[in-house]
Amino acid sequence: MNKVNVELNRRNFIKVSAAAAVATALASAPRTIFAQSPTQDMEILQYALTLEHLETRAYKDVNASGLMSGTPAKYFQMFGAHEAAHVDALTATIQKLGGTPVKAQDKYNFPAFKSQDEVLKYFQGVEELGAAAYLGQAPRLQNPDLLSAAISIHDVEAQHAAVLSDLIGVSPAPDFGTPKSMSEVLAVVGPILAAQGAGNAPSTMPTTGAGGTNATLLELLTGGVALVGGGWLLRRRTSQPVENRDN
Amino acid sequence: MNPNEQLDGLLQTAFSRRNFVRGSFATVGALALGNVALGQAFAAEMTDLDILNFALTLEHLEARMYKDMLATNLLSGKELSYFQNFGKAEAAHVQAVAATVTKLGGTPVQPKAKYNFPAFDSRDNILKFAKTAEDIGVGAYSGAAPAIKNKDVLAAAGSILQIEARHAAIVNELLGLDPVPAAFTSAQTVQQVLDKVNPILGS
Repeated sequence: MNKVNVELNRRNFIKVSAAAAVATALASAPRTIFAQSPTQDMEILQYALTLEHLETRAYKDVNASGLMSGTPAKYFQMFGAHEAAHVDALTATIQKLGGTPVKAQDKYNFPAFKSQDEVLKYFQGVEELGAAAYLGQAPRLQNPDLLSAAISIHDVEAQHAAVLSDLIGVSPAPDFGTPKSMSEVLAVVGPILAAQGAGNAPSTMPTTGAGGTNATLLELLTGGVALVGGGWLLRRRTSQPVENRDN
Repeated sequence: MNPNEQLDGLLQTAFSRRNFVRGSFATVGALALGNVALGQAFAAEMTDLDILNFALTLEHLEARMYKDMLATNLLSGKELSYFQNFGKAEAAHVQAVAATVTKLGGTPVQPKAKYNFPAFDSRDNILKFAKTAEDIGVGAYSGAAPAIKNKDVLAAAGSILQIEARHAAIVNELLGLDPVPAAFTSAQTVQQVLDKVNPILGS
């Protein structure tokens, strides 16, 4: 940590938004901490950012669709803003750690919603998946500052999921949260990320298990799925063998 | 010394002098500004057993709270159904955390015979106190989790934390508040947790 950064942090500390504060704090920690397992932590950050981009776009599209009304419409505005703040925090953190943040895709394979009920069910699945994804990765993060931030975001994904569950009339909270591994999550979101020209969006988000496909990440990556624009996923393919790194 | 006394001693000596390391974003920021040793010191001083017994103290409190609330018969409909589920979850957390403490060779802290709860004399007062307790739970687990050394214990704590967070959001919603008031939850420092919990524990 150099003096310039310290001074910038000091000056900005009070004023910065929550998102910026997270990123600033994370990136200001001593580099030696990040040396513990920078590759795995960075991979998890990029994975999280990939999911947050997806969620942010999903809310943005739906909020612009005119389908939402009443209390759900109000909640969707707030939840969409939360996801955008997560994108900002993760992007800034990755940049300050010297990485290149994965970008949002131009297109995602979201279903063509016809009603608010369809929207609510789909987003409940998305948020449950997000909560499970963060819960799955939290124990794998080596840097405690990153862990702290991931937990904070995890909480909010779970809260979104709970509220959406309530709105669709299902139990908002089991006794314990269930984590999902990267491959379980990517098996579900792979088809959503494979947007270019595919046109076969799943109509619902699975709420349990690996969902509507049994494809593992490896199968997704080697099975000709066009992950165009999923730059992080493509890079992942060229890195180490997935089966040895995923957890 | 009974377990409660042990816990009180633990809280006063180990917790009160220092923050949960990653206690809040403000704390993280402070660390980034040069007080890094604080985090290392906390992590070194607090064992996973200490943290688990602290969590168990809060779970006992919540389990008793829901039990007492449900016994008033002041809740109905969806609220009653949710509170029954929430109480069941907290009781399951008590079992899980106590079993973990035992497995790690510790002595699980026991519930207090009596808690200084406010009067659960109306639906509103019940919901308001449930919010207080669940918010404390979320803040406490969020603050403690990064200090947990055993990854299995961390995973279990995260699994419980997620449920506390869900409860907090739903109680907010039932109260007509923003269910998810911010994009990030705020971890509490130990002192913040103690300031809120000690009066309830009668400490």
